[in-house]
Amino acid sequence: MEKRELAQTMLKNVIDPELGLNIVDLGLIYELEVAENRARILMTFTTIGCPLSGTLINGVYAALDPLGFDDVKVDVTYTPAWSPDRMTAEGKQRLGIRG
Amino acid sequence: MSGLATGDAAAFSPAKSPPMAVPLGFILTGLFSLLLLQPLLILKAPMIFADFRFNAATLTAVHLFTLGWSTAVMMGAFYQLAPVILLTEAPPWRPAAVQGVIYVAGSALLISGFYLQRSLLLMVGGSLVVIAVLLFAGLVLATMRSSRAWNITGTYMVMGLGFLVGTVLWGLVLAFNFRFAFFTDTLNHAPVGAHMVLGIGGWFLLTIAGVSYQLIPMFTLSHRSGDQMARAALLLMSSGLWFTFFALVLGLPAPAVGAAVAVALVGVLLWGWELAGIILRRRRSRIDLGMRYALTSLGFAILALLLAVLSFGGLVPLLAESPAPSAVLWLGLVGFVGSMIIGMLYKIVPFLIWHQRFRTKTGRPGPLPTLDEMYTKRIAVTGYWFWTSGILGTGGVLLAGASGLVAFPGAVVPLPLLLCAAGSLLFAWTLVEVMRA
Repeated sequence: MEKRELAQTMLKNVIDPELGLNIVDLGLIYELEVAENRARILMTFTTIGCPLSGTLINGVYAALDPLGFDDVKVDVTYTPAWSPDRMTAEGKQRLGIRG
Repeated sequence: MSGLATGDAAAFSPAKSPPMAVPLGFILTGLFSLLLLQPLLILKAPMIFADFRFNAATLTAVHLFTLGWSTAVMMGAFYQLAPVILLTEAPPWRPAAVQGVIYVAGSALLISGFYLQRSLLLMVGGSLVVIAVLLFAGLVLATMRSSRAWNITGTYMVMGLGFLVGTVLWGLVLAFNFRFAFFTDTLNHAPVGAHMVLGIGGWFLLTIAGVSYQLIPMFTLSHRSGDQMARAALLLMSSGLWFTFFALVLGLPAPAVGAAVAVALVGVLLWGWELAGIILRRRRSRIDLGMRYALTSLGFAILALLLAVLSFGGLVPLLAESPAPSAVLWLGLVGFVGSMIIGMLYKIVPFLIWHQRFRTKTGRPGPLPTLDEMYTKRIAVTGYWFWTSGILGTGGVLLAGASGLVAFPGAVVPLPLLLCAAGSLLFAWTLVEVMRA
């Protein structure tokens, strides 16, 4: 498995405890770049001022830690804003998302 | 809405939240008050729901609910939520803890003063509450100044704080009135009505409205379309409520008071309209327990408003001698404010405890509980039904002609009040379960 795919899989260990769903299936990961043993993640939250933001960011670092990257950089953006449309089909089904 | 752009994640570190002890201390104070209120309501029902509402039992019960329960919990929630909602630094926790101690001491003295009918306790307790509220407002506003993501919820919170300060300052005037009797006409209820307008309409309603713009879309996975309607609602509600306050204090004619109330009501309707849209647009079909309480609370607010408008058409007659005002106040205060706070606590307390226990385990293999797995759902849902049926039942009994019924508390009133008490106990049990998770 490529390291990027591995990172994507590891990020599924980061669960939003309010929704009970991981951040990948929630569609919170906008970009995941892996190059020269460095990782850069561009992520968002379901809303500005999400009380879990800090916890989820720490979770990203913890999830990628076993992969031994030399550097992990997490950036946060609210553009474009997250919407349930960004969720994976599995995520939508698990949360009973309408529309 | 926000000038927040893409940025380093360090800006979102969990250090933004205050230590758990600060919000939890306020919340536990509130929970203790809610439990203490239940036997008081049951044992003193004939006095509390009687036509004459300014007796020791009623004033004790009302302030136990408003200061001991609602405001204490809301203060804790402000300390917890303002930094995360507005992306600010956490308030300094030592002054916040001192503020909490002053607030609890002041509230306890004030409430004891009402129960024992001691004006000295009222004046000392009231003064401490004012000091604590001014300190609270100062700490929160200082925190908010560093916001990097200001939003409409922040504006509502600031306006709500202004009403809280107004409520306790005017309340202190009323406390001193017990000793010095500035208001000689004891049949004139306008000064107390003015206090209620600031507290219930300003502090509770505006704050709940503001927070609902943030939390309800977040928990239901819905969205809002711009701030225009929220701004208009805020302008109408706050100006209408302040005008109502001054009209009552200055003794303006009833049409002036009625016009001011009408302006505030239009604001409430705008808020309700937008909120209904948010709920209808929700993408998450499942309504969890916290949201169920919140929606039920809004239902109680609609009932109280309808009842008030249909029965009286204005605020001043609301204080007239009749059974319906008790039902309106019961549904509006205990039903609306109480249920909303319980609903929000079903979100806040599990989050606080989860954050404390499991935040360092996030991202590592192995299951972690979700927030609603931290308590026994069956008990919590049973508590919801007890609480809701108790609120509705008591409201119905009061509406049916409270003055006759409360004379025989063993026969009618205590049954729904017992349901409320059972609901409160189960709610408290659930929170204890969460804390032990």
